[in-house]
Amino acid sequence: MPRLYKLWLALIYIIGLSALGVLLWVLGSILVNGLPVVLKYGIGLFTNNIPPPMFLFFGKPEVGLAPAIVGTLMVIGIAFAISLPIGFTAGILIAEFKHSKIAELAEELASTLVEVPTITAGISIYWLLVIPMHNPSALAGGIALSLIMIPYIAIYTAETYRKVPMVVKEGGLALGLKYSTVLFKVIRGLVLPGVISGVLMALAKGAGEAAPLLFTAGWNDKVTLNPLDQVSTLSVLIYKFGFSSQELWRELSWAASFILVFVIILPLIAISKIMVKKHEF
Amino acid sequence: MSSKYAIEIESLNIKIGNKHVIKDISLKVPKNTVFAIMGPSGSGKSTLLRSINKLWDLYPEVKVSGKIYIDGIDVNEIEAHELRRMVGMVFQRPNPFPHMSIYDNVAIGPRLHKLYKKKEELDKIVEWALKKAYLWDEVKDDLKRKASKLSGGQQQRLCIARAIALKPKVLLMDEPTSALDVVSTKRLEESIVELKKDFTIVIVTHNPQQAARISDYVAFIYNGELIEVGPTKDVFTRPKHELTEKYVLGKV
Amino acid sequence: MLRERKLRIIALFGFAGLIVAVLILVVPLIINSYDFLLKYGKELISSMNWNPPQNVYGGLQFILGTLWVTFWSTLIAMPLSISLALLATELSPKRLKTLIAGLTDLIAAIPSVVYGYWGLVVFAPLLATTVYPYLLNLSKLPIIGILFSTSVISPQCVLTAVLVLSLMITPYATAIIRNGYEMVPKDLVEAVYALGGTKWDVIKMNLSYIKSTIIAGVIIAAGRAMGETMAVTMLIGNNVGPFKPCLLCRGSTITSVVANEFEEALLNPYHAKALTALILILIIMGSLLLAFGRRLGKKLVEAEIIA
Repeated sequence: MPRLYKLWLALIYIIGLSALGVLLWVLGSILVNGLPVVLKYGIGLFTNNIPPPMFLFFGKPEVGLAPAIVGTLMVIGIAFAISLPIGFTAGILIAEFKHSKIAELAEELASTLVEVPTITAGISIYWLLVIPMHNPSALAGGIALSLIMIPYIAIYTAETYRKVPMVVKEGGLALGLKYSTVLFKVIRGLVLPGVISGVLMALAKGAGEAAPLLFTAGWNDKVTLNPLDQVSTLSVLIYKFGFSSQELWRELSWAASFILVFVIILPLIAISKIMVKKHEF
Repeated sequence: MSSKYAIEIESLNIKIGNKHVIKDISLKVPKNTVFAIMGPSGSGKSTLLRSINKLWDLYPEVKVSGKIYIDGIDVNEIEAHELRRMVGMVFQRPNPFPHMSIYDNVAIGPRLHKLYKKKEELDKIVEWALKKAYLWDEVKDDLKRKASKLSGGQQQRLCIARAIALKPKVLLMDEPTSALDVVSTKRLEESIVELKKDFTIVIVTHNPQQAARISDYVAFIYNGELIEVGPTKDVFTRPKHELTEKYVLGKV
Repeated sequence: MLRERKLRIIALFGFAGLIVAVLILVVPLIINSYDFLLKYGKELISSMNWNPPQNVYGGLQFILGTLWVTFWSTLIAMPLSISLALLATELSPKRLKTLIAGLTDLIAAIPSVVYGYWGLVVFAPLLATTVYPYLLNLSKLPIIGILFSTSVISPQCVLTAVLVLSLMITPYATAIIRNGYEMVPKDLVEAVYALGGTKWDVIKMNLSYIKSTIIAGVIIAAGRAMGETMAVTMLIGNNVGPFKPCLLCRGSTITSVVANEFEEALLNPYHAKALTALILILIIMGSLLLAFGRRLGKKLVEAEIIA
């Protein structure tokens, strides 16, 4: 019996650690392949336009990811502006209207929305916005992404508000304050880190999504700030250039992966975790 | 319209789900007294107390019927938050706002109700409230400290200061010493006697000795029914009801 | 009940927002596949002949492909997630536990498209030169041979997609199993020790105690696998031919064919609508799976989100 036990234990360690090994392998690959490209092209990577497909015929092209970086920020910004008010208020509904059927339904909807395949948002927004507007755009992409971020923000907000003990909320009520004043002023300092942490997690999730943007955000070699223009994003660029046989485009896919993971997503998650630590009381 | 009673309760009934927790209770609480509601745990005394400032509003399973007047005002005629502005409350377990400083805990009520014009006025309110709650001497040097860093007894006195900073007409206390040690309990009881000068206090306790020590009037509740009510001296020395006698002698 | 007007308006706004979000997600799919489904619906779910230029829309291979990929990646994710959950709760010293928990969360944080690209450039070529030739030899075996029978080894194939996918969905199952594991009553554990049980006995007892939690976690992870798009599209090989129960073959799923063809499909209205109808079918498949999983493990939503 003890021998069998040790065998199983060893197996668990091997399986678990190899899963983590693969994770480190993925992160390592991004670092090893992406960072040199970023260093090679330097600051130009963040300011230059994306090289056009026929660059070979026009001498040395300028190499950059600026349109994809700006596009990612635009799309995320639009998604954030839409999903924060809806997600936050839905979270308040779910957490604070405990006994109402509407709150139960809202919770059900939010936890279902989280599970909907993200490409769905891309297809739906394509029919809803891209066709009537005759053009993909940052706006359409942002709206598609917001559908993915709303349930995250709602659920994180609800969790955070639920964690505040009822006696603390009653303490505020007993001072003759309205419930809304208690929620948004008295316990603000208590819930803010948790809510911000949730929003950052949602942003990290949104920043990496490509499926909802493939058919909604379009593609743009140049930087634009017009939300009705097509934009490229880092995630879509990784996909489109990833299949290419051109060495330069593959390099750009690595660089985009590096920026996406190490410059955008991991810092967002790190800040989010620190926030949650602070939130514990 | 002002009344000579701080609180009048008329045929109050409270049901929680299917359970009839408070059965047809009527009470009158004279002004500037300490009115104790005593009874064994589970008798419904906290339930009664929480109906006075309509805290049950938030819980749809709790049904309250009957009349309650605060200083002659029908509580059902005014909004819950207006009512609670007049009726302060201290809870069973200390519940200061853990993320705020001592100062902010006391100041938040006056601040959000905009009761002052200048910062100095607020400082004065805070100092007054902390003194009344017998906490000032212990915290005056470090008002910026987080409330969660205080001891349980200090936190409870902070909650008293927070409540009285709004100068309510009535102060409700729901077994305020149940989570405290002997020394903290003694200090808290002292501050309650002091507070009587400015406020009417209704205190719920399961400890008849405490009721005897600090209250002017006492009501004995058993199983949701009002068994006996009267001046504390009378109830403790000449109880009219057999059950009351047993209870004050510690036999229930 | 909260009667305050301001708060009710706020809550109502949130509710309306959620409803609108759901409607935006679902209604365009229905509107834009309705006439297609009337005309080609039966063909879509019964035939495996997919030839949009000729308006032939047999999509059963995508449905089966989705189930096939989901099945295998879930099967592989199961031991991974149970092992990680045990490492993060029972088997490691405290500091290592937080590290393992953190790394598990990191797995979930890396975008699908990055996994796809890594798989495409690093993982798939490696598998094709080292592992797959051996697997090809297994094709001579009876019964299981069919899993590995292919004429040419392709770096991008069902197995490559399955392997990467199983890593990607592991964190979700791990979080739920971990959560369930930590909720096993302490006195139960103490009882096992009191009876002279070893740590191994405790693990066995705990795992059987949270059996339904494990199943629920695995099903939720399967749901994620089912809807996963980018990595699958980049790694599965995108062969739209009839479904074969094969791992070394190139294949396709609903999400992969949609991601691949939707852009070009816009030239032919029925083609785009066929893909839209497939997404609708995917949502229905996922809902059925999740409804099943939810019934097994209520109240697990929190852990699943925080993963």
